[in-house]
Amino acid sequence: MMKTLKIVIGLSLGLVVIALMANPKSDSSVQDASPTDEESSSVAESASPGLEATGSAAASAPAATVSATPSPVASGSGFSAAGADRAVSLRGGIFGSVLSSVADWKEGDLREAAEKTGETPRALRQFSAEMAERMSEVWKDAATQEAAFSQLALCARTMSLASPVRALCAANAKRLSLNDSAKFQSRFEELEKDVAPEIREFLAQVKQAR
Amino acid sequence: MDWKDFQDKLENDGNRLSFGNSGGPLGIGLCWWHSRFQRNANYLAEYVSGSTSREADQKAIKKIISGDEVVEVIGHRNLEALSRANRDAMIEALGSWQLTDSFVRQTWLRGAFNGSSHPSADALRAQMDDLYDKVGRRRFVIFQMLQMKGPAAHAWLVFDMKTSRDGYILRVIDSNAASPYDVYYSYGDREVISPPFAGDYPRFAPDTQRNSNLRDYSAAIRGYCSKAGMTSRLREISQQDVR
Repeated sequence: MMKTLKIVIGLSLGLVVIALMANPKSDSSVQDASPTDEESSSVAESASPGLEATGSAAASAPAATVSATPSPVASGSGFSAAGADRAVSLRGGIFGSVLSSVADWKEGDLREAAEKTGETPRALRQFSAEMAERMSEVWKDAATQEAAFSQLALCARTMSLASPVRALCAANAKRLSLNDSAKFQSRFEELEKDVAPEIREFLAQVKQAR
Repeated sequence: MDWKDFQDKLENDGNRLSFGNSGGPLGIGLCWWHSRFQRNANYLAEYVSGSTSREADQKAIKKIISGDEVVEVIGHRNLEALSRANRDAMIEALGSWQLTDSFVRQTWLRGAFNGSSHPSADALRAQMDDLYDKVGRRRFVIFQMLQMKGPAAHAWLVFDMKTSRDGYILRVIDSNAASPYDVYYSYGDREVISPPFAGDYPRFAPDTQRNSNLRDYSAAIRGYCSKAGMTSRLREISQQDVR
């Protein structure tokens, strides 16, 4: 009887191992791979509510564009025509005027300036101060946090924006999720899977909301 | 004003930030950015009379962070008053600056800092001699990183320096301490010790960072004075000064 039981348990464990090998999608592999269709749709879903765009095209197209962004590559190449469409979706709302003003920044130029001086370029310092002014308003008014999170998440996923811009957006989204985990934690976890690896690594250092 | 006047200003409580460096999204305090904001404001903020407004204060805070022009701060007597009235907004701004700076250093500049926590006695002597040249002779306020053992680092501003019988006495503003204090260095030391009241730090080695923004200060102040029909007594800063 005991021998039979051992065989049954052994066979069951073997089947589980085989099943896992056949479906290698684990948390870590998802993070390193391009999003699947299922993940893309969840990206689109979570990105859409934050689109406080002025036009109907802006409200629908950018989510699809962003959801199709497959590769967490760090180097941006400025704003392409397709990127310009995405910029429309980032206009308006709480961070719209700030994000529009950085939409055509060239990552290479910023990086060159940083390497030349050994410091964060002035333009990025100004950008961080502008974002801080908006975040101050967001902290004061909980009713704005939903829209703020969505817009920050969209910014963080928009690969045509320079990586420090995306990183600050992602970090602020994480701060909102730390502040109100019931509301934002699961959405932030989705976002974290979608951002470039160096941003994900950076996000691990963000420990508190304020 | 000349360069020494900007050093002397920092002895006055009213010319320093009203809050310490705690807080910030990375959970490690805001010391570097606190010190940098303090220095930018010391050189660039001009306090003028008028009615205060939230918008004007925000604009001033952003310009101080930007660090490339003289900023007229309306309706506040000094930095202490400005920072007391805008504490939360300033901490948010310093936190945002910290995030951006940290990302840039992590990805493009590969680390924040190249200093050693335990340099050779000769290396630290050379650093201190250079620091004295900048602070004691040329009269600049210098931003230094303080490397502890391991990844921890702190920062302070050295705003006066004197020779002693066997080394130097540094006068520093440390964002962990409410008032400036003296730090003693003796030739042959390989590290520096803060007084106990300044914080529970391990021993560390200070390292002067690039101070190229001194040139920005100089240009901004000279430009501002020239526009206002005043003569600046600040001599121009050379590349050599801020190497």
